[in-house]
Amino acid sequence: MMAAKIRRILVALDASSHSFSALAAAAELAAELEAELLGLFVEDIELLKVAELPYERQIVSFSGVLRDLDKAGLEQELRLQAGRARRALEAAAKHSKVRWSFRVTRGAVVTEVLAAASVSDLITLGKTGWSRPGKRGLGATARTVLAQASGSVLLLERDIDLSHPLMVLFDSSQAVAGLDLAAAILHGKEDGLLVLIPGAASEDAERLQAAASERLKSLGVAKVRYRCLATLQGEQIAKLAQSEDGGVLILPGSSPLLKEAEFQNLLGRLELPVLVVR
Amino acid sequence: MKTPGELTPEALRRSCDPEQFDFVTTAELGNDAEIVGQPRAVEAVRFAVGIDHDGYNVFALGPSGMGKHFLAEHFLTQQAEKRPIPHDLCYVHNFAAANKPSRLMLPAGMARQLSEDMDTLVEEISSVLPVAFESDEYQARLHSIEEEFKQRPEQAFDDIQQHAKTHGFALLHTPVGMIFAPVKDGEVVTPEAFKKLPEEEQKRLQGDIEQLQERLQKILREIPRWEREMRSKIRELNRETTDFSVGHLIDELREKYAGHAEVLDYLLEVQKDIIDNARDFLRTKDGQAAGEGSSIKRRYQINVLVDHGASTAAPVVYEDNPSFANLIGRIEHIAQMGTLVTDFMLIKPGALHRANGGYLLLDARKVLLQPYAWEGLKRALRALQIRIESLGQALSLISTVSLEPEAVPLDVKVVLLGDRLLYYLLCAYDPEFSELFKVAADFHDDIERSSEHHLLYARLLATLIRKEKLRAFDKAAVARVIEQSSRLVGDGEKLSARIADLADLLREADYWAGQSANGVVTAADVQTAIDAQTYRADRIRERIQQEILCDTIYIDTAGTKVGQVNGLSVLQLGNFSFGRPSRITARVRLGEGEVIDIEREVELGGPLHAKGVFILSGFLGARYARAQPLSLAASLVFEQSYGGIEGDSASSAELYALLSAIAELPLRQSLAVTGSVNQHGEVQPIGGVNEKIEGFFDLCKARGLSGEQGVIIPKANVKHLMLRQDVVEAARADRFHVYPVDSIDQGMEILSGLPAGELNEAGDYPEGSVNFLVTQRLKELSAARAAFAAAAQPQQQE
Repeated sequence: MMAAKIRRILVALDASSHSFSALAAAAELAAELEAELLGLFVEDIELLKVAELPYERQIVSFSGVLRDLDKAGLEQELRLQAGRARRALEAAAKHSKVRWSFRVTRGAVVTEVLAAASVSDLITLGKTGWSRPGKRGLGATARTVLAQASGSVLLLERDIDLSHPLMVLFDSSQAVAGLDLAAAILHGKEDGLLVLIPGAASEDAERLQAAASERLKSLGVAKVRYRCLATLQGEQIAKLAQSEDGGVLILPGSSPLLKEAEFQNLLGRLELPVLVVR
Repeated sequence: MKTPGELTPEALRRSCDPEQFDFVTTAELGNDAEIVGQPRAVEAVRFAVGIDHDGYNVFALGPSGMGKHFLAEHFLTQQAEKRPIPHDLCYVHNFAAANKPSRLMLPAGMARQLSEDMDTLVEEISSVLPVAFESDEYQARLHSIEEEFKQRPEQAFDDIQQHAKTHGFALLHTPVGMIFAPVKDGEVVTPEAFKKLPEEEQKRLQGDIEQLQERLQKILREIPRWEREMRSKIRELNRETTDFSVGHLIDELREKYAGHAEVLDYLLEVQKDIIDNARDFLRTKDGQAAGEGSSIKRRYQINVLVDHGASTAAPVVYEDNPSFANLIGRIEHIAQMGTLVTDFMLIKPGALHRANGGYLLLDARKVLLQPYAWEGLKRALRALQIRIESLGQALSLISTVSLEPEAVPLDVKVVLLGDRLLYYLLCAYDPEFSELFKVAADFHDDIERSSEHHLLYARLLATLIRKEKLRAFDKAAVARVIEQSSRLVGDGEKLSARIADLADLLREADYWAGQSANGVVTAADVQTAIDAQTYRADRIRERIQQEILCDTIYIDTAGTKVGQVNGLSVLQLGNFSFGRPSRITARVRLGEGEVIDIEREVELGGPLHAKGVFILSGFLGARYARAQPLSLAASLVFEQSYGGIEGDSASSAELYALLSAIAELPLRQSLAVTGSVNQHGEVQPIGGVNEKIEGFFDLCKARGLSGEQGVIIPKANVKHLMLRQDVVEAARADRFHVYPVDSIDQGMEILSGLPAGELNEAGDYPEGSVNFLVTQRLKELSAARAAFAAAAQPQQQE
């Protein structure tokens, strides 16, 4: 069974550095997969509502100073942000020579992103928003989108580097979508694939490896390295990613690693982008 | 047959006997030329060198070409061997103030060693440090520190978010900041809903929000402090890591230089600095050492200004170009990106640095000609330290930030070489001079001529010959050079101390020896060199002689004339001087006793010449007109002289001409006369006697020596005679005569052939004597004047 080809990549932009990294990664992926970039900027309706409250003031992140907040001012700031996001998208798309479109909507962020996601094959998101200093792990928006989105999701905090090995977790014979996507990203390149198989030296593991090998052969990928994992824990995968200098970690959407606490732990330790395939 | 009183040929030239030397050629003589005949100067220098007090520097004074430099350097080099080798001098980076480099003074040879050790140290550190910083242990500790400090704000934000949530608020992000919004049933309270709340509730919410904002602000303010704390912990870790990997390297150096507190202090500073700047040693991503060629490695280098590693004695330095910077040292700059930059490695030493602990020889004239060099030298000597600063700084013209290297203590004896005039001018006009140069080493122009000095002189010549890499001189050649040396000072009893002239003669004789393919230089080569020197210089002399020979200038060399005498003068053109005969005439008429010096009247005569004429008229009056008025008017002149005349050496000749004119007594024109006269009629010595005699001799020789010709000279000049060999030979063959006289009477006897005559008891001169004739004529003039006056008086009464 072949996974649906990725034709449209949604980039949720909030003009933070993570979201620009997501944009760069999306543009690179789009170039590899010959897909189209869909840029989305959501004007958060909740913010606009709060701005109308009397006495409301905001604390400027970088200085800690209190500043008056009004709706008109906030709208202005949001418009500026959207403009910045648009220009960034345009530049990235031109650089990668991919088709693109950009849209600004107003509403609840998660709802809008999910609505846009329904017409795309892959969502790229910054792991956290831009306004929260020192925050590691997954932001609330990203968490909700990941949980509710039906398509694949790419989470990142820095630029993607496809010259480093792709790491694919293959934990059930059903999880072939990750392998298919990896093959598509590799695009005929040799020696860039590392398949992680849980359950070291067990029959299950051997079976999984054989299945993966067969699948990849059919996709035209000959050179593959396999690594068996004794336990399936975030910490172990993070260490492996560091020692292998991995480029992207591809996880099947059904993986137990995506369970709330475990996933936060993994993301907190990982610096490389994570692609959840559904 | 010699006329009585005439000088023998031996007296005309004091020759030097080669047989007194017990060597065949100068090659046998050692290189141990002592300073000859300068005991005063040597004693002065020895005293200055020996006395250990400030200001006892030396000014060696004497004309140039005296070999002051040669002698001083020779003597100082001998002295320097007895002094300890001074310390090396180097500048190092001052870690506390980079623009004030520190100096290190280390035992001879150690500076270079330390410099190499420091280079090695830096190289080792460059390879050791990156390894230490890439080690797993370091990385693990670094990670744990970073982790610890990253968690703090995260925790704080989580806490406040949690706190807000429990109190019914949500923390929302705007494009530029954060806000707390009241939440109800998981939704942000809309403005409409908010307005519907009771006023008290609204106020409570507002108060809660303010409290939350305050807490958030506090967290935001804490973040920079946490980051600072983290950085300081990382720094501490880096420090520890560096100290561990570098400490033992520096400890090794510390052991090596254990006895040298200055070095130990420096090493301590280095260690501290390396620990503080360890990151600069780490390699960049490109694999290039970050510090390569840049300031980090440069600042641990040692700038060795003075290295005495190879010295065997205290330094004796001669600075040929004593400019301010060459004396005091300078700070160079390099152009970098269009600006000029400098550091301690660009400090360059001056002559004072190099000579510190020893001796510095300088040419006084050159020092004074270089702008501010004299002031700079004096300042260093007065302060007893060398402070390097540019002229702009020294004169406060420029105040840009530059280096101020630590001053170097100065212990040097300076020997200035210069003319006497310079010395006396400095004494008179520079009040500091006498304080700083307390010792004058006064060099004689000439040296006493004795057989002992002959030998020393021969050794000196041998040293010069060897230094100049010339052929050896045989003993006859040495004797000839010694004779010429006497001639150069115009004194048969002296030797020249002008080494430069001697060296010229030696070189030229060597050249002529080469031309005639002689293995050694002979007396003939020396004579050729002397003749060639004369020939090259004597165009004007020859020209004048030609004018005389073709009777354009009138000079008689035969027969007799009344009131006319051949005087002798010396002309100096450049370094060449020669004698030239001049016709001096006197005319006499009735008058009131005045002697007119025509040269003076037309301002062609100098004051000394005028003085001579006044003296001779004094003599004339005192001797011949004591009882009667001197009733003549006489005029004296140098015929065919169109330039100035100075000196009194012709005053005896003028007196002879005058006496001849008064007595109408013909004088021999085959003789020429020189000598000054005093009021008692005594003939006094003059200068340039050799040139004067030779000048007349050359003329007579050109016309053909008659055997009558000769020159009358003052007796006191006999010791100065060093005449040319051909003059001596002519005298030996009785073709030319030199008559020494000590009074006018003797001269007149030789010139007139009559006895001078002495006063008898009656107060008269014997009849037929010169003095009788003069007295007689003066009496006649006096009578004539009296008669003339008597004849004129009645007319006046009428």
